[in-house]
Amino acid sequence: MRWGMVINLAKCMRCHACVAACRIEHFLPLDITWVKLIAHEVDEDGAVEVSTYPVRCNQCADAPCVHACPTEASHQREDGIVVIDSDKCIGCRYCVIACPYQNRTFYSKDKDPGYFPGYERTRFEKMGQKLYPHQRGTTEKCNFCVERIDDGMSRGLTPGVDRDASPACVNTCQARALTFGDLDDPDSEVNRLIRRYGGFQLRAEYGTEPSVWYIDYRLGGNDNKAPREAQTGSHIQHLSSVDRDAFRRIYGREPADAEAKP
Amino acid sequence: MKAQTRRQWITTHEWMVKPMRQKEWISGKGILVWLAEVFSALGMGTYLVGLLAGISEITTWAWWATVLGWVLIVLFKLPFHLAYLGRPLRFWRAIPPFTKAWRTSWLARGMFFSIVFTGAGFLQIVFWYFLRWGDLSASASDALTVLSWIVGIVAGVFILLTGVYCGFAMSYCKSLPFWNTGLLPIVFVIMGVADGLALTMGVNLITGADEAAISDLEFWSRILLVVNALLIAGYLARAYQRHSAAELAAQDLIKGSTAWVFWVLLVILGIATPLVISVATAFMEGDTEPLLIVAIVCHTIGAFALKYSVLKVGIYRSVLPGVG
Amino acid sequence: MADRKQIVTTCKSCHGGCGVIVTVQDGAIVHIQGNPDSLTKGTMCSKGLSSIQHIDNPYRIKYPMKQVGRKGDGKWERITWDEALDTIAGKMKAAIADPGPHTIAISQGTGRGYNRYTMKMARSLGTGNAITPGYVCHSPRLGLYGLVTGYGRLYCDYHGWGGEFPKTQIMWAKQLEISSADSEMAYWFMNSLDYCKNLIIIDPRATAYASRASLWIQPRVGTDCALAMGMMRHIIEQGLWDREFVEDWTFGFDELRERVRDFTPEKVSDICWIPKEHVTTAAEMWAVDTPGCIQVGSSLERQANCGHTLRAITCLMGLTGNIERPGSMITWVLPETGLIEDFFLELPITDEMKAGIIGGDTYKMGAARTCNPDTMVKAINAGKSPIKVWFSVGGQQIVHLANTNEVVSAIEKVEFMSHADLFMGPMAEAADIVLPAAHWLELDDVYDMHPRFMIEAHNKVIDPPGEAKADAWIFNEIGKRVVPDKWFEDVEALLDYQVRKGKNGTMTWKDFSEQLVSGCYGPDQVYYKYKTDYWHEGGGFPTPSRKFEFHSNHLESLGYDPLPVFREPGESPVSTPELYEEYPLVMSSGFRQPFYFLGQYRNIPWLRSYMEFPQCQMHPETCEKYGVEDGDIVWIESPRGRIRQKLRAFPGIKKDMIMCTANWFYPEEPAKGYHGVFISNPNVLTSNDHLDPMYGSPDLTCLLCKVYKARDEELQEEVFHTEAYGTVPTYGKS
Ligand SMILES: Nc1nc2c(c(=O)[nH]1)N[C@H]1C(S)=C(S)[C@@H](COP(=O)(O)OP(=O)(O)OC[C@H]3O[C@@H](n4cnc5c(=O)[nH]c(N)nc54)[C@H](O)[C@@H]3O)O[C@H]1N2
Ligand SMILES: Nc1nc2c(c(=O)[nH]1)N[C@H]1C(S)=C(S)[C@@H](COP(=O)(O)OP(=O)(O)OC[C@H]3O[C@@H](n4cnc5c(=O)[nH]c(N)nc54)[C@H](O)[C@@H]3O)O[C@H]1N2
Ligand code: SF4
Ligand code: SF4
Ligand code: SF4
Ligand code: SF4
Ligand code: SF4
Ligand SMILES: [Mo]
Repeated sequence: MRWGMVINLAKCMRCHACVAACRIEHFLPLDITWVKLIAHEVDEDGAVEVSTYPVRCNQCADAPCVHACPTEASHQREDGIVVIDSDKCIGCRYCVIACPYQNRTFYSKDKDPGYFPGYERTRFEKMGQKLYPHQRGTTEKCNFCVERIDDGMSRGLTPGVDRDASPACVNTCQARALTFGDLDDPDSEVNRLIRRYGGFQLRAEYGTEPSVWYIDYRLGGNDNKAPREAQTGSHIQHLSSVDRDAFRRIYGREPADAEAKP
Repeated sequence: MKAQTRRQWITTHEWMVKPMRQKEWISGKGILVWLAEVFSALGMGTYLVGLLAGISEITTWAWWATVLGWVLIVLFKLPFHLAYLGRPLRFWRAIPPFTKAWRTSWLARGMFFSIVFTGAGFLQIVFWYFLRWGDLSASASDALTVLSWIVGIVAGVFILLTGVYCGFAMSYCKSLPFWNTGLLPIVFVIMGVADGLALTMGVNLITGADEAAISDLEFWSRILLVVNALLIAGYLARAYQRHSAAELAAQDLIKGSTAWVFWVLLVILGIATPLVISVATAFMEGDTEPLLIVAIVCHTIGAFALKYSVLKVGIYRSVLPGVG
Repeated sequence: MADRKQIVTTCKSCHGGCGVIVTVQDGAIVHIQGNPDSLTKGTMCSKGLSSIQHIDNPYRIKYPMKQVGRKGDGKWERITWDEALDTIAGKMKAAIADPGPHTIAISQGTGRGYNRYTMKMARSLGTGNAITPGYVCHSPRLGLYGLVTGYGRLYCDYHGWGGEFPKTQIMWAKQLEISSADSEMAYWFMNSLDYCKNLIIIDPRATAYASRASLWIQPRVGTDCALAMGMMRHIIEQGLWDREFVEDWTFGFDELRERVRDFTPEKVSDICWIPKEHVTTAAEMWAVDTPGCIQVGSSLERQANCGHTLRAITCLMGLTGNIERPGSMITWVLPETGLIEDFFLELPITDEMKAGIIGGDTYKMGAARTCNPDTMVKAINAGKSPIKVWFSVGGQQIVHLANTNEVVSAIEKVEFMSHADLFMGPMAEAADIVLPAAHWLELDDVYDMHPRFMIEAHNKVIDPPGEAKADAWIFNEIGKRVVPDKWFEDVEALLDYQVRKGKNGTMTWKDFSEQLVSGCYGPDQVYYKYKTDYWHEGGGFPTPSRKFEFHSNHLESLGYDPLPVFREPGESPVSTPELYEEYPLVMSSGFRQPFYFLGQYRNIPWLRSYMEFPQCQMHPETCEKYGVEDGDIVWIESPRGRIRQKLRAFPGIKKDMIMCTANWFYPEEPAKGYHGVFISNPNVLTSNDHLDPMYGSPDLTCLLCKVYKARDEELQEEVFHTEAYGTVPTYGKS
């Protein structure tokens, strides 16, 4: 059994609900986000390639962060989920540096100014300190909502099928862009999607074997007539775009290095 | 937009899209990591030089060099590392047998190396002290010599590893192409030894200059400096070919906002100046001490500059497909 | 053992509708998630989830206050509810006595589940001068669909209850995927795409799903009417219209055919600045792959030709028989609790009230039941307006009406204004008395779902801060003081009354609050009503001709052209070429952000973190053309004034145009200057001179402007530096 997630870029409309759900589920301090939406735009002489990628910890099967951790605070569970034991973490941040996807955050005082800096903490924050204490001076990341998975399974529920055993972000997504399930089970929905739409992982060439997969295709079938500029639609219209010259300068030269999506 | 507010930073969407600098290990508290790294290099260099110099004959300066090296590691490197931790009091968790992580973690290994060295190095220093100054019976002295050899070798090996592991820790990072190369540890070691030579010269001067020894030391540091200059040049050249993000880092190093650190502090002060001086002094008559002191100081500044520059330009590759 | 309970309720952080489960522990909300048993299947967006940050939010208004300085100075003094309510009631009574009820204005913002209270308040007082943004938001659609469907609602059937899903979908000036506008929930739409063959997106700017569309058309803003007429012409030319439906059930086909005859693909392509193939392809997809539905965006209603644009689009639906068919456009059958609007409709609007409606004589469709705000603004500034007392509950007229300069000077002239709100915004600062309103997590109420096939319950989860009260309570208390016979004992009685028809006449609020919804969906829904006795014995539509009217007899009787006519916007490259010389960019405003709701939530940290600063978009080439760069703060200038927004070079937008974020003020900016309403709000630029003849809607989404970079020294305001998210109301003398 190895838990994994498939993110459907064709459906994600970057509403950020996943981010909010995660912040609530884990009472995240103001300046910490475990899941992010990142957007990417290259404009090579009119040929526009843009998309928004929700990124979270990939729960890598071969996880650099785990190898790097000197205390075994970061470790991998039987079910493939990479977790951090905050009681063991010494806050050396080696994992933060070593995660090739930069999905870890070191929780320092300045990252917790309170939701309303300078005002009394809200009841939600205060309760959070009881129900989901975060240890300052340790490192954090998305944990695939292990709490929900463990609690759910202990009640005989199935992650990815039953809400109460599935990640909060997956449950809340109005676009149903997130699918959760067992990567070891060839018939699971996640594997079906990966096969059907030619799923890909971020930076597979690192050999980290992420458990988070992405699929991208055109709604309305592949005879989709939308012009290439329309690619931008899946992106960050409400967010910032990326400096095109920088891309020309930096990446224009090395197309060989840039692997194409399947 | 010039005017910024702190809110801005949580805006998530440019994260790891543009090439992004590593910050944890250089800005803010990260400065401590930099200092610790510098002291590992200096400590390693000085100790090694002292140790090697002492093989043929345990001279006063050689002994002092090992002492200095040991002090730099135990009283500077380790404390700085400790101070950096988010949870310093839990430091022991990183040390075997409390962790088995040394199988994979360069940090755990590093901890292990430094600690073994601390012990072995201490014994070596004590033994040498008695061998040099204590009046021992011939038999005792022979026995002690053997012991000092053993601990000496152990200490020597582990200080080398201590100096080398930082390099490996960094080169392990897959998404930091500028670091991610076997060359890095080598550069660090060689530079460290060169720095060690310089500091040892200093020790030598203080403990009553031994002309012959100094010129030997200078001879070696001359060679190492040249080797290093070539290594660094080669390193940057490779960076350009290896990967766009590495190229960007290299560009940043020599053109970027902190380029002055690289050019002025590292290249000019850290390498060129000592090189010129050591060449010059080779043909000079009379008192070269002032020049030597200048060389030593410059050299040491160079040591700080090297690690700073390298840490500063740790630039990540984007995580997105099709983007470098 | 901690006391921990779950409360099931309904979110209205947007127009609303998602089922919600809230977990409360020891008096604190510790979790919010969607309700899997609701029609939104347990999904929620970032706004609804971030409601948590409304609780204990320091910027909330906690007590009634009265303005003790000049309007807009932000000098407040705490008062009691009694003083507040009595003062307001007193002013109303006085006005009713002399010069008359029509001098009272009752206003609200966009639909937030209490529209019926606003309207009942107005009618019970005897004034027709209700002010709502409806005329730029939803009313033109309702009114003009109403000409076809009777009581006026035509929605997209995304549900498959009739056994079919839409095969062709048109998103016409709409981003339903993020806007869940008018309670047509994004979830329903996105889910229905799994069964959709052609997704046509008509939008000058790539929306989230443009890249997924079968066809994406980028018309010049303000020209959609021409596109619709071109599509109809092609459908007729190709003989692709639904013969059976048109034969048996429509009125005025031949006139329509005449009317659209000269809208050739070439002509349309010239007007709309699009390739002519787009017109023909769209027409064919729409006519051939039926059933289909058109989701019309309110951007089209924010234009001075909105009436005819919507008429044209409605005709397009009828032409292809996409009315009342499963998977097409439909009027939903009501739940057993009946039509929620009856709550105010049962107070008929008298001729006397009608006579007093500002703009009523001119904008016979829009200003039939509510006043025309732009006419009111002009009148007040001209010293001719009768408005003496303004009772405002929610809504930011200062921000949302056209021509902010004129609006501000007008509102400052109003003798007495009260405003109920959760936060101190521009309208609050302009009021004489401010009333603290409760958040949906803090109140019991009936949530009216716009599509009308159900109503849902807001169940109170937690106490409001300070003395904040639910809107229902506020309305009822004022009602009781002024017209007791028309209002209720208490809120519970008011709620009981609204659901009384349920459970065949026995339902109480308590029952409903447990039952959570009263709905008519699934197999209970009825399609093809016009073929049954639903509207008429022996079938037919509830129209004068009993047919679907291409030629609208009602409009004709009001003196409007009975068939669609294309008119250029008030300002456009075609209608005002000389102005175009100086202002070379076509501008539109108000593309919704998923994490904001109009002017709201900039003071909610989680939401503000997604987009700190209002952004405008221009095509990279257009940026180059005008020497501005991605990331610049730019000045956007029109003949009315200039604003600053952050520029984004966006390849997905039509060239030579700019799209601005709308409804933007800065809660963190000081009260003076109405919380920075002049810094970035596009209505500083919009004009209120050129209005739609039927609805009086101004050109908020089509005008002309120019753009240039703002220099750093021009970025001095608070917002460029502050670390706060809002300003805390002060209750003492200050
Ligand atoms: N998250 C969120 N949801 C909301 C709101 C919000 O602020 N935030 N606001 C609510 C309200 S009050 C309303 S009225 C609805 C509005 O919701 P929508 O009807 O979806 O309106 P917008 O998103 O403003 O505009 C939709 C599209 O119209 C395009 N457009 C602009 N001008 C033209 C034009 O002339 N022709 C064509 N074809 N397209 C044009 C814009 O590019 C935009 O992509 O959303 C409601 N829901
Ligand atoms: N240029 C331009 N102008 C536009 C638009 C555009 O696209 N472009 N869009 C137009 C449209 S469609 C609309 S609908 C309007 C939007 O107009 P508004 O509805 O005025 O927009 P908001 O800024 O959301 O103002 C709502 C106010 O009501 C308060 N509020 C929210 N919920 C409640 C509640 O439950 N009770 C009470 N008492 N108060 C509450 C909020 O705090 C806020 O202050 O703007 C219109 N103006
Ligand atoms: S919630 Fe779903 S649609 Fe929204 S941003 Fe996250 S993944 Fe995308
Ligand atoms: S994504 Fe980063 S943090 Fe997550 S498992 Fe992989 S390496 Fe570790
Ligand atoms: S910060 Fe914590 S989790 Fe990360 S490597 Fe160090 S000890 Fe391990
Ligand atoms: S899986 Fe859970 S922890 Fe990870 S991003 Fe989603 S909500 Fe957050
Ligand atoms: S879509 Fe509207 S109702 Fe649903 S959660 Fe978001 S704000 Fe609430
Ligand atoms: Mo609206």
